Amino acid sequence: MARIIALTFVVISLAGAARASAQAESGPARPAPRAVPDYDGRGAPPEDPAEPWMWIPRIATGPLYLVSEYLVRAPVGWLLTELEASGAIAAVERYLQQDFVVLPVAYLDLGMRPSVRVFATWRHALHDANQLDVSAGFGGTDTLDARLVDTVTVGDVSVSGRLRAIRRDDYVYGGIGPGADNTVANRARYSESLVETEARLDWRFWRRSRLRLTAGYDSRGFGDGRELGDPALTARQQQLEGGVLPEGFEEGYSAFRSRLELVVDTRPASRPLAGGVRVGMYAAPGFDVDHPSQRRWMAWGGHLMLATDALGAERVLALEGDTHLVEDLDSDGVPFTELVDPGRDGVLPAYLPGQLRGRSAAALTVRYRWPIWVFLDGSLFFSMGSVFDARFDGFVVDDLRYSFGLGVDARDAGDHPFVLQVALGSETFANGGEITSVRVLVGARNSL
Amino acid sequence: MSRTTSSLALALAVLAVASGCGAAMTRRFPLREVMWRDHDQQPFGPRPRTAFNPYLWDAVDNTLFRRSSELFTYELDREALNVNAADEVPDSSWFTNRIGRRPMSREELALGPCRSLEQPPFPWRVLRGKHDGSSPGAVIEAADGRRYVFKVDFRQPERATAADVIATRILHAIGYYVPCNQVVFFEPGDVEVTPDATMGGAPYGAEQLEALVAASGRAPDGRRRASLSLFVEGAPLGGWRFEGRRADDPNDVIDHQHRRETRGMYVASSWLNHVDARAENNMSTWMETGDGRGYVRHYVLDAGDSFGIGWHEDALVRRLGHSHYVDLQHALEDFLTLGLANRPWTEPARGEAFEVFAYYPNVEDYVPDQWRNGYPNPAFERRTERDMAWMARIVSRFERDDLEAIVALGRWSEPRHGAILVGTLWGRRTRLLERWLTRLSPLADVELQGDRLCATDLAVRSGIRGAHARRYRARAHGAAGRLSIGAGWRVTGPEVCVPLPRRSPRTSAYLVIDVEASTEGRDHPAPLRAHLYEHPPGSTPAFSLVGVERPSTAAPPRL
Repeated sequence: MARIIALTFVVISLAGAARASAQAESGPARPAPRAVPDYDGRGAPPEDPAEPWMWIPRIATGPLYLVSEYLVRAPVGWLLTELEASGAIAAVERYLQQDFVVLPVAYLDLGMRPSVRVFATWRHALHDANQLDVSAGFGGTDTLDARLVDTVTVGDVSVSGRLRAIRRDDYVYGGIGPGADNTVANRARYSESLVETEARLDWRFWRRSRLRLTAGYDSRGFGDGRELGDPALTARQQQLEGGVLPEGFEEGYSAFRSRLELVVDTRPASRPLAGGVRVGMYAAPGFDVDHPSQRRWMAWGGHLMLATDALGAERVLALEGDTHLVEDLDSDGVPFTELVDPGRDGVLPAYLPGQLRGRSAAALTVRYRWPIWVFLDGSLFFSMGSVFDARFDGFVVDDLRYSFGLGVDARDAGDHPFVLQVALGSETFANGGEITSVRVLVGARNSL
Repeated sequence: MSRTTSSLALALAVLAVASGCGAAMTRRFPLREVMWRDHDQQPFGPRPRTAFNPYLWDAVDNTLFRRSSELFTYELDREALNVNAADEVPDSSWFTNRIGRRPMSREELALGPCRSLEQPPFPWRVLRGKHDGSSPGAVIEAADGRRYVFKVDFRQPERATAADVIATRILHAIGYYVPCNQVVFFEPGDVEVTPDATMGGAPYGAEQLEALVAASGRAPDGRRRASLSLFVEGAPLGGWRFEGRRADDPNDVIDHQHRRETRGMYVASSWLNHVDARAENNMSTWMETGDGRGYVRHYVLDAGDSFGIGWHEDALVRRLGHSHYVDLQHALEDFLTLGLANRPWTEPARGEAFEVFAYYPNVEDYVPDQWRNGYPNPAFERRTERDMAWMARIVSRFERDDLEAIVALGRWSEPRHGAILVGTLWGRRTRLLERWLTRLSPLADVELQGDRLCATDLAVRSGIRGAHARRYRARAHGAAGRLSIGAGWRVTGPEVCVPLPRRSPRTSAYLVIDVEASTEGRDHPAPLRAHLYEHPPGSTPAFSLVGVERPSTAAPPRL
């Protein structure tokens, strides 16, 4: 009891001292202050009758106050003030306006390993039209990546060369096709090492319309992974699918791929939230360079969005439809990482990348976006869709699943757009349609 | 008020009142003169240190950290502390009663803190570049040897330079210390750079000056346009803050957030849309009185953001005056309501002269008590109805001709821009008076005229209410009980007088007179409460007026 009283006394004393400190600017000792004048001649006003009662919550939340005031506000205030006084903040401001900028960011996709990342941009690198972007991410010794992009932009056309090297051991594997048991309980982890080069041509020709042509080469190797206690991919397959490993997993592969994408978007380029129609389609052939005549595939698909700013003021309701397919052009099968992955591609964002895979996928999404601040938009969506066998073979409505979510997105996307999202995804209706997937994203996504 | 947002604190406050702590006795005023001067200019030494204004920390702290900590202090609302017996603010190193207490001529309003309206003689020599603030500029020395801050317009033609002058003139007439600002015209050859001029530590040369001059606007006769702000009196000590006290100023004994003139600045700022009311735009100066001693004076230095500052980000400009730069409350509300509620910044109209005043002329979108400045201000957050009514009474004294005289100082190349600004100021004045002059009593200038108590009805004087529809009622409260002096009478103008009842006490007796002014069907504010002493027969004067209150309810006093 004595301890509690003593602790209470200390908390009260500190809280009182803190309030006094917060209300008085610091400085050297000076002459004693003059007496507070009796401005209206009636002396000090009587105490508010509620004032004595306020000590109850003050004491109850005293520790929170001490943390907020002394462990957070005071040191942050001291640091920022010193930085400003030394001119460091002004130097940073000037630095951000310069051609060469480095920014640290962080990203958490709950269920994957969190990572920190450093972006470096060199505008006008060696030439006015040239920009060099470098990014390096770290989420542990087995979660590393580095990216280098050099872009030359002339008018509406830009050409870029890209180099990526990635090693992660927390990739998700949830089976393939509509019949796979891809619940959280049955997901597995695998590792992947990737080296990729790519050349890209972008032509922005009307409003937000563009034509993109890419060609690249990459090499991948796979192994068992680990994260959050999930089993390794080989163990899962042993348990669930008789030890059969997904195509391309054992030996890895190297591929040459190209992609032609056309997007016609009637929305104005200067307004991120607007009504309009967006139609996109793409075709992306690829082949295994070690087996060029036995392992070839073609990914293709399309996207249609009808958006309306019916309420005005950039409150946009959109209906979006997506179809994605991968054709096996030979008999050796398509590597599992080339299959449609609606979690990775953002088609069904309530699912982690790799949780759903298939030869085809379709989704219908109703999405509502609205501004909540100058640089942030709210986002609410409801989707219905899933993965299927080749060309939606055997499609039945019961194979669909629904998902929905709420989030906040940065208005100016850039190369590392801020995102905050909570989304829930269900099992297929055939499996009961229960919510089994929860996805939480927060941080700066890497879209370099 | 945001200070008592905690539901726990509110519940406890309700409990305290419900448990029988209410209905206090009316506090009596002593028989003494009203204090019209706060003697806070007593010389002392040594000179206080020059404070550094961390502008970034000030914004971050007031937006986030200060407010987080204050969640746990459970501070209750309280009235401002430096309020005299007349419900007014005494003159001090912060504030001087001007238009609120005495008539000001148009010439006096236009002159403001300046000694002359003549522009300083050429040449103007640049001493250093100005790299802070929102407008590009420089510090110059004119041929008269005086130093000025030289600023040019930025993005919006003529607004910033005009606002620098007009807003500070209005603030001066209200009572604040401000610099002498004026719009000036010059030829590029009238300005030259001194050899040792610098900006941010780097040399400042002819190239920088040329860029500054090139950014300036042009008058119809081809001359360049800028504003000059005369260096204020005294040595700078840094910007005064809207919270706390200077520990090194023994005269500074009232926390700034509890000063009525800092709280009341909310009304003036909302009127002008001076969203940038923050420490960095204030200035304390050391006024030397000799022998190393002196006192501190408090200036409002920069109000050039007034009247609709514009930035390239329209989504931000639309919010100015309605929402903080980073308004967590509004962002959360808009997120949770899916943005379905229409806000003033949702789709504001772009009116005439949008390129000059942005959305400022949208008077119908101006909701006075919902106005928000750039980032939260601790004094503004503690404002009470009485603080706002005090400033509204001062604002009500500005007549349209006064505003026209002041706005003309903007030296607009297009007269219609001046007319738009006058119309906007007048429209916003009407709206703020409707809000803050109709709940507490608008009666002011209370004085004794023989055996009568007289006052001015500012609602009538300011034009928001017609005298013909105005009704008055008065009651006297004394030791002998309550006495109706009159009910439902009318007057033809704003002056209202009440005959005082004589009770011929043997010793001076305390007397309270409640005077209500109302307009049927529109408003019925609580009464003005005048506190008097009635002296024994044969005394001169027969009555002494010792205090004025503006209660929030018509409940009779408990004597």
